[in-house]
Amino acid sequence: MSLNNKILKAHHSKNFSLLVELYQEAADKVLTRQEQNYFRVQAYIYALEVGHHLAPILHKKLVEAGVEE
Amino acid sequence: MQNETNLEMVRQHVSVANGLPNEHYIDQSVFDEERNCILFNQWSGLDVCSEVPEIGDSKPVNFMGLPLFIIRDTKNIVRVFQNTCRHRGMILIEKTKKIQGAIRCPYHSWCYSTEGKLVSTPHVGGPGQNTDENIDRTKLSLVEIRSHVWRDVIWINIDGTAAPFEEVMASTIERWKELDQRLYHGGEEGKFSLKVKGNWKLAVENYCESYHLPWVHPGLNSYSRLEDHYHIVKYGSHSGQGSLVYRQLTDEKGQKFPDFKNLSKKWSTGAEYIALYPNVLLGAHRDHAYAIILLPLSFSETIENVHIYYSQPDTSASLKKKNKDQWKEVFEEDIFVVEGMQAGRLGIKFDGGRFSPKMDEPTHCFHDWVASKINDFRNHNRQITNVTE
Repeated sequence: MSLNNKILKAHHSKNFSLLVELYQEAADKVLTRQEQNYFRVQAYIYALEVGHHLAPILHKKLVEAGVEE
Repeated sequence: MQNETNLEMVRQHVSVANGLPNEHYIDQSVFDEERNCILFNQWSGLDVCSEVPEIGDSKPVNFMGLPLFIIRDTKNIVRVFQNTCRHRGMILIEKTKKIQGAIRCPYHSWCYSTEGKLVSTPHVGGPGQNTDENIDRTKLSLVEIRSHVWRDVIWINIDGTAAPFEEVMASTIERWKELDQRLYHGGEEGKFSLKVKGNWKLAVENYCESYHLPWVHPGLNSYSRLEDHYHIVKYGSHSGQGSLVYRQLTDEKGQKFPDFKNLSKKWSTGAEYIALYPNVLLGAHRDHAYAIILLPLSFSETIENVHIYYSQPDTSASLKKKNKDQWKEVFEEDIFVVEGMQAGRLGIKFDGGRFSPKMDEPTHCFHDWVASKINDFRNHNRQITNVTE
């Protein structure tokens, strides 16, 4: 199954913890900085919602990238 | 409402007073007026803390059309917020759920902490950019509603103008000082709801007085006669009734609920039932207590949420069920009265009725309180109008 389909499936089942991982995987695969930030934001928001252990790490990366407070 | 209702006769001595005019039970504009001047600007009951027992638990509650939610934050404090995202006004919490991390708006995913702080605004500055110079998160926290917890009840003062809770409720807090002990909610066997086709005030009125007991609750006649009851009347504050002959419930093995600690002798056979205005009805006994929160749905519909409490966490489940069933039966016996008075208020020639000076003082006390708060509100508005004209 493609990453895109995995993401859609996780959205459909509201598996937010899985979305954190999948969006992070997407962020690691894209080429541009903006695309990377976009997917990392997606991962971060779902991490925030579920209290995921990666939330502080993602937050730090976004702050370093200048896109989060 | 074309004209203000005339409350002059309500505020007379109980021996000559009339009750509140019909419009206070059947008129939408008076219902709206009361919403502002006796529910939103006083300390009203909303729900109980036991409905959100663990950190992160949240529950939406609609209070007279106002969308709110209660939540137990990460510091174990129960808070009340307006259930509206500061971004586009989306409802944030649609059903009871546990917030594991942040409250995420289901629309554009703005995220709030359980303390109400706006913690992230995804893509607000464009794709992948969570900041924007015009979006100051410190000014966009959730709107918190002023709240206070007493006897597990979450009391709210929506417009934020009431005096501190402890000050407003001082006389009842003092009266029940020895009962101010930890309360353990009875769980599923400690709660039930009743939907009544009647104005919320009718439930208060009926609760205050013991006059109706021999007729509406004939089961009490065998041991709790009318003369075994006394009035509790504090004009400007609360009213209710007390019983001198409370008998503890026993199960088939003769077991009873454990008592609250160090109570005075009065409570050996005593019980008290107090309406804390505007919308909370409390009951207290040596071995259990309850709170009834009246949630008005419209001028002619009310939800009564009943919660029963004990002195210990692990009391007999069968006894708790028996107690719940017993109270439910009593409160259900009152429904036809509340609904009957609602229907009777359509009698256009009814003048608000008279009070028995001997038996109806607790009810008059409530009417007097409602009338005084409405008058205060109207006078305040007139002063503002005079200043601005």
